Amino acid sequence: MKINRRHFLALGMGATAGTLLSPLPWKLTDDASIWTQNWAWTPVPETGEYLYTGGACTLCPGGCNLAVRKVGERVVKIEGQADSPVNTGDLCGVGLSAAQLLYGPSRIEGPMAREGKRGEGKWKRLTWEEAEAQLAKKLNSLSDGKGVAALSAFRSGSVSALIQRLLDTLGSDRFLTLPSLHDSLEQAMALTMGRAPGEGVGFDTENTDLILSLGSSVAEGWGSPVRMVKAAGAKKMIQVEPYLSTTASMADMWVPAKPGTEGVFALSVAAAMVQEKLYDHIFVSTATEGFPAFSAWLLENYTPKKAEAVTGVPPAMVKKVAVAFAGARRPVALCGRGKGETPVSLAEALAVFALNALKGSVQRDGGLVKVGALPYAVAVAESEAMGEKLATLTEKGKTELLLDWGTNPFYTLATSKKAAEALASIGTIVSFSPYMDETAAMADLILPDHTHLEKMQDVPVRAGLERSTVTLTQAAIAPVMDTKHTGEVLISVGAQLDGGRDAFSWDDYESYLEESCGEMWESLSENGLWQGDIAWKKGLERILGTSQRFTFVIPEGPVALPAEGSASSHPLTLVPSWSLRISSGAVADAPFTMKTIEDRVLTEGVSHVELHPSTARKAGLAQGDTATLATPFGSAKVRVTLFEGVMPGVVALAAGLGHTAFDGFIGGKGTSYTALSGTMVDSATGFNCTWGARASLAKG
Amino acid sequence: MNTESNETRAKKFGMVIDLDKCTGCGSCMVACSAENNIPVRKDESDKLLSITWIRVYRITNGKDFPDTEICYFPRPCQHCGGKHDDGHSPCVSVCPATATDYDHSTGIVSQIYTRCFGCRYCMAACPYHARYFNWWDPVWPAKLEESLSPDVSPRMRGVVEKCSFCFHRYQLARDKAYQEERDVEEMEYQTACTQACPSGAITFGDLNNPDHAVYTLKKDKRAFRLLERLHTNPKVYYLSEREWVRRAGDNYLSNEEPTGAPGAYELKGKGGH
Ligand code: SF4
Ligand code: SF4
Ligand code: SF4
Repeated sequence: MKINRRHFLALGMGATAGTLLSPLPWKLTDDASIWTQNWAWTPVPETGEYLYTGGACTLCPGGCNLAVRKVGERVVKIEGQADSPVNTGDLCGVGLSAAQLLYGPSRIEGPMAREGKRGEGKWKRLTWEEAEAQLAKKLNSLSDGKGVAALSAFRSGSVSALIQRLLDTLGSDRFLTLPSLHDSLEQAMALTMGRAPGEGVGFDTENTDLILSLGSSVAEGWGSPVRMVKAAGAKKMIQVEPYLSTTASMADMWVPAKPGTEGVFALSVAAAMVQEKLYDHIFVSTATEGFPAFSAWLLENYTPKKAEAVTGVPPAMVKKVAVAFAGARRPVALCGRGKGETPVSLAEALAVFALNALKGSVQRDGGLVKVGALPYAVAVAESEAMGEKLATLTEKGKTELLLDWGTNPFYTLATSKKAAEALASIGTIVSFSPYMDETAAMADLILPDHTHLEKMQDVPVRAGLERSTVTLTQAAIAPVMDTKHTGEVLISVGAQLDGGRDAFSWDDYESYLEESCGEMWESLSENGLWQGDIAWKKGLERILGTSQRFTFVIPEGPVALPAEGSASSHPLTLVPSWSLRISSGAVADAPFTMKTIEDRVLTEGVSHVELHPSTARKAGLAQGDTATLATPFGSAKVRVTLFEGVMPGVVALAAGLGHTAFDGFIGGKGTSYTALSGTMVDSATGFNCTWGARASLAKG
Repeated sequence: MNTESNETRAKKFGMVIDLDKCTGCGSCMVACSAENNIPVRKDESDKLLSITWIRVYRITNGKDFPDTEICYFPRPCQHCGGKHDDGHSPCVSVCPATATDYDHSTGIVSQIYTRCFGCRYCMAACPYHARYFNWWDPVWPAKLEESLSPDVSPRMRGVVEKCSFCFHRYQLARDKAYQEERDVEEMEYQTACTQACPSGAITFGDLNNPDHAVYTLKKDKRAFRLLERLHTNPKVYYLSEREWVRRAGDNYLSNEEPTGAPGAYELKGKGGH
């Protein structure tokens, strides 16, 4: 008799009644479980003393404080430090998964030099002595120090000061950091409120009652992400952007303005406030300058009606926003699309400053505030013309040697094929990355730093907090790989430079760190955190209630930057979508974070684009189709996900994927938004302020 | 069991998740994975194979631009009590190996890996897709094995796994409380996801204990449970102001009024958010 499925079931049923009374089935199931659990090997995690150590996260600019859970000499989990004023006990998924970065397959074993062709992945292991000597020799042999550029993860801080010192010794003024929203905001502050070197811009979102966000991913990673996620859940919000993001969906009002026109929308709201006399008359008349000319300019160019042609937002909606903003007690307007990793045009930043000032929301609780400079004893001098200098980096033949400390320019600055080629043509590339990121993979020399869980180092936070803040990473465990603190390496290499002995006379990094942090050290070493006074509440300023005069500035450059290319060849508009589940910065997601990425964003290593069903229909595309996404800067294979929440004509692509290096968990998965995004240079600052690109989408 | 000697009333641990607060950030998923030694795979985008004890789904209201809304749905194991709440959870009822069991002293549905022989009946029975199967032995590349926690045994090929409400945390808290001859405090036993959620969307505690926050929250007007009409009696409650979200909690026909089954919501919400 052939036993088919039905017979088998029948047999089973018949047997059950009789055998329940016998021990046989239990024995059989036990045997079965032993048989099915044939282990190749059995990890039995070792136990040991349970303890927590403190620390700080450096995986994004947020500056969260950590509680690192250890068992014996192993790190088993990362949690948030409960009493931290930055993240009050919580972390994002990227920060939480850092133990997997620490022990993961993308770690670099130790110092190494390139063998074979650039990017080929053939390396020769070096000792630290050899590696440092090689770097010193290379730097000493350069004919002109001006060919040396360095990218640093932080604009200030102890290691950044050493990097700048190294460049000084070589005669180069090309100390660079990745551009961000804060570069635009600080320039706008200089023009409207005055700014001393090192001063920053903050948003007192804790005390605000309405957030008007001009494209910022409040719930998906803007500013200090954990702090802002909490704000997103607790505050009233109005969100302006063409894509129904989490922020937009959580907001009390979603204003889908055309991509890239958020600044124009801000000006139209300002114009409506002037038109309808909704602005704060007392503040404007007593504490500001330039209002008559500015308001006349607004009414001439940016009335809700006129702006509609640019933004697509009906005047009635603009007025609604103006009434809500003016009617709130302590509203604040903030800008910087997505996570704020890209600057906005100076004109757009000025528009947002003006909008806040019209409501008196500057230098007061819940408003846009000035944040004091960090009192480093060994400080970094601010670079002039950062925008142009960054642009030089992606021009062929302008850079002889590039040092990268934690910015991964081959991913973060490779905004087009051309830019990537220019970076690859740099004479010598030196990476300090602890992970095999895209830049380390292209390097000639790698001197891997410790990760943030293996070293002590200050973390200056530049993420829109309302007061100046520095956190401290701590060595939770001894280094897992043969790595060395970059601060230590710089001191050693610096001293080996011609004329460098005096400039790098510290015994070791730790003593230097203490000296560098100056008055902040005591609090940093004791609490893992230093915070300055709330600048706008000091002295006379506090008594007067408002501390500063504000100047309305009529911007010179364009508010909304146009996208390159023609509508006929590229009829759609590509914009990024943002998520806390995908790290979009220098360091990529760990395996645990990859788990959280939805299958409407990434499947089988292919990124999905989201578009409105009507857009898809016009392009002859259906859900799940494979298509080629092209912009003037590059192209990629993608899959189609239909989503009603995308503005028709717009294509959204999740930012942070498309890594080519790291490990098999993230490498080779999806498409890099950055690589397709190109450049939109703001003539006022020289920064690339790209908000998207013209795009086409064709089946196949 | 006399570990409960100073507290005789049975506990019923449960969760209330406020969907209006959840931002879909995914911290709960990562914290859970790290807490519970969840295996990793090279391709986590294949959701049939990717293991996530708590998974955060995204739903939309189906309306067209610009009236579209989205909502995130974190889904741990619902620790079903079964019809009449007497421990006949869908999965427990079908397991031939008694590898998954209902603990009447806590209301937690357990999974005993060494007993499981991988028939996967429970997976078919679970209406919430809360169970996952290990098709392969877990591989911890590089030194990743170093990050495994000794509190939770790593699983092997051929067994089913699922959310345990971080039962090991309860064991630790209970042992301590037992030694000190007192009951476990509300905050002493919290799951890893609850602890990790930056938005405070998840509340955890004893649904039977009037002093615990979940006791009151579960009676909130906005509260509902998933697939209420199946009588699975989940111990995970959801809150939302938005009617379309509450409606999405069960397969209601468009013209159908929600049932008056225990815990079902009343149709009073105005929607919107
Ligand atoms: S928000 Fe940024 S700093 Fe905080 S845990 Fe996440 S990556 Fe780290
Ligand atoms: S959710 Fe599924 S696995 Fe959990 S108790 Fe209910 S039926 Fe069992
Ligand atoms: S951690 Fe909280 S907010 Fe984030 S996805 Fe989970 S439940 Fe939602």
